[in-house]
Amino acid sequence: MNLLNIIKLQLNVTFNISAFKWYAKHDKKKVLGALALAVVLLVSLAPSYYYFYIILVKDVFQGGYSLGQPEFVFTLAAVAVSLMVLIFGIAFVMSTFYFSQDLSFLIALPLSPSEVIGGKFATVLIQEYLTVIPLMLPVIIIYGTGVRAGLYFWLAALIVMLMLPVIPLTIVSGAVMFLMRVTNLGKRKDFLRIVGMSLMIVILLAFNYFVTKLAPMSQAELMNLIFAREGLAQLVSRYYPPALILTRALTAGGAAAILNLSLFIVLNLAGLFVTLFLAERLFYRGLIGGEEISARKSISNEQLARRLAYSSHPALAIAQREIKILLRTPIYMFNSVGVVLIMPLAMVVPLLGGEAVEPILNLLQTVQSRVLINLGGAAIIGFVAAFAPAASSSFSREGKQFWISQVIPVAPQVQINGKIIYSILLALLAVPLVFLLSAFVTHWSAVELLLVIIIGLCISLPSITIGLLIDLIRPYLNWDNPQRAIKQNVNVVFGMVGTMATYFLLFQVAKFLFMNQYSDFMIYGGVILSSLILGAIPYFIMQKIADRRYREIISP
Amino acid sequence: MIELSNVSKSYNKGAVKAVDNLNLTVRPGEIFGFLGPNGAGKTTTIKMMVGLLRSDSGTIKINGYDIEKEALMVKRSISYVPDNPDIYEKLSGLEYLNFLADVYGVPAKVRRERMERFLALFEMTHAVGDLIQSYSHGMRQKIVLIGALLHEPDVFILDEPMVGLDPKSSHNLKEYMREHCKQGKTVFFSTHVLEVAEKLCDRIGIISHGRLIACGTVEELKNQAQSEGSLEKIFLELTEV
Repeated sequence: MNLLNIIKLQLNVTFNISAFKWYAKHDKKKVLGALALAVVLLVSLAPSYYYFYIILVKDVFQGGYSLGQPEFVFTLAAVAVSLMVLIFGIAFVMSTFYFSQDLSFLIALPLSPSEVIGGKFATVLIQEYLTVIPLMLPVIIIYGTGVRAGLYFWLAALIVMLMLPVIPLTIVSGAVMFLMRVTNLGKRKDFLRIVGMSLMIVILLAFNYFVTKLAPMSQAELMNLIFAREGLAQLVSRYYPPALILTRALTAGGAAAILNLSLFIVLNLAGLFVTLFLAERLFYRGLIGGEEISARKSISNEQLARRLAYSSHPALAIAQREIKILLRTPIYMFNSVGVVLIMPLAMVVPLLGGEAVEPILNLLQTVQSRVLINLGGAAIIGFVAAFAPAASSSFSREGKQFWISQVIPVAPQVQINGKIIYSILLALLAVPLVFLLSAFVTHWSAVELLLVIIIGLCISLPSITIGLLIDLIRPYLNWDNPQRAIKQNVNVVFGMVGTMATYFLLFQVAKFLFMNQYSDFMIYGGVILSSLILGAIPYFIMQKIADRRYREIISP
Repeated sequence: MIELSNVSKSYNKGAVKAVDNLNLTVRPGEIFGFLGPNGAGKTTTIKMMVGLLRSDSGTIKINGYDIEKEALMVKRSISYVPDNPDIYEKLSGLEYLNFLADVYGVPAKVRRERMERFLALFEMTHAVGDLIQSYSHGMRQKIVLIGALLHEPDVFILDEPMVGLDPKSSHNLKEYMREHCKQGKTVFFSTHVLEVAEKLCDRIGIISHGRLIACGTVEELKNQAQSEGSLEKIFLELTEV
């Protein structure tokens, strides 16, 4: 009974249900605004969703169908979605379980740890549906209509879709609770937790690598497997074995399907049971005592003098503040730095295992034009800036402390400059990736490296200013756990959509100049100039509206 | 110097009048206490004075600068201590103070002397190197206070500053307020602790339902309420609807 109450409360708070009802009664304009925003978000994402995803699903289904293995699309989607939940779930689960502001209130209530975790798990699960359903539903519909499936399929598919994130989330929950328990150690715990989260991803990648490495196959074996019954599904499900069970639950037919569905349900329930069991053992021990510190260390006058020896320009002071907070907040650090550095590795590691990387390297080395290779390197820096939600959540992350920015005597324009400096520094995180690429693949000279970095930073500029502008227009300040400021913030999505639109324009500029055989100098110059113009437009809009926005925004 | 002329603020499209045609002047060298029941409009008034909320009508001038037109000049001459010390938990106390010294333009040499003095005054020297997330409510309140004093503001605006402070710090703060005003500076603070207001303030304003229902010295308030009792008795009589 308690558990149901907790779930109800958590869902209400997470999805602002009471607030929504209140506004629907008292401020219809606000509700309509929120709905309009949702529509804009859906419309802006719809084209890429259709062209990049639905068409892909159709192609994969057709490909599998022509090999007599239409079920392959399920296994592939289930593996991809489950791995996504596993990777992105780490920060999500940690933030919801351990950094929510309602924890001090919940702990004091007569609730068991498993009830608190049960409630929190349910909210994470339901929020995962926001990504799982849009990814799985097309697969179900395309397969179901493609093979003219019967009633059993549709019912079983619904169950499977709703249960799909459960197993990955239970794995993540267990791992996070263990990590928080063992790292609940005084001053260094934030750092240990960032290391721990990164380690989890590394373990996941290592697992993928070894799965592929352990079973090397000859070309003939591979062909046999591909053409065997369920061959493709078996091949892909090695990365995530439950995917095969759920595929069979939907497509094996007859008793085999029902058996596999039962097995899948039992596995899910077992996962839930283990999570709740671990919660009783680990949750409070990882949580309580987190704010305690050992004996305070006094600062001597000499130390004070040393640390106060210099003063900074306000814009630099703002940039320093942002960097320090980012480095010390595991959720921010993981989402904006960790993921950005880990994602390229996540893409490369499975390829390394599959020995498919060689042809790609060979292909890269045969590209004649250095211009294209150099621009490609710069694009990596640009994409890191685009995917690190540092700028597009910059105001939102200030949250309840935004009042400080509003009362300090620093012009909003200067504060924005500070945020730009900070975002550029984060974009520079891609530089080690560029060096790695240079060492192993592209072998850039020093001049080329410098050029790649300069162009990369220029390309990053529109991404930064668009992200900041969007977040300044409607910052999301009233969040109750840091994950919501950075990952569940639509401004981050809008920022990425806006950035992709500008990158498309930059790509067209580069393509035009290259195709028309302009000189290298002209191509680089064209890209840099276009980037600066595209970056300057949102910047000047911000400078224009900053005073007004800083006055209008009501700090929570 | 603080001047509020015909200031009004309402919420829910005028349904709730938080501040209703408020007129108030606080002179240099004066400690002004702002009293009122919960929800009377104290925090709304203070937030409008420091630029955190926009008034619907009227003008607010601090040291002669209009908060709407010359916001930066206002911010340079004031310090604000909110009722809830919500500050950057992931910075150490020292980093927070240094950040404020940077943005208020306090020179490196001066900031060290002031920090040492205020850290000692509020007994925070031992904790200043630790992250703010490890601070108790009272310690956070103290670090916010120290941060607000670093640039020695002309006008010091505080919302419920005594909440969470231990008796010694509370005493030190009151002493500082007196000293501050002797130098011709202004202190404006809201409080529910009527004894503090009675003993400390040169003048007191009482706000109820968004309107200033009484303003003056304790003696003047007694006359207005036609009561000879303590400030508590006067307050209860005046705010009774």
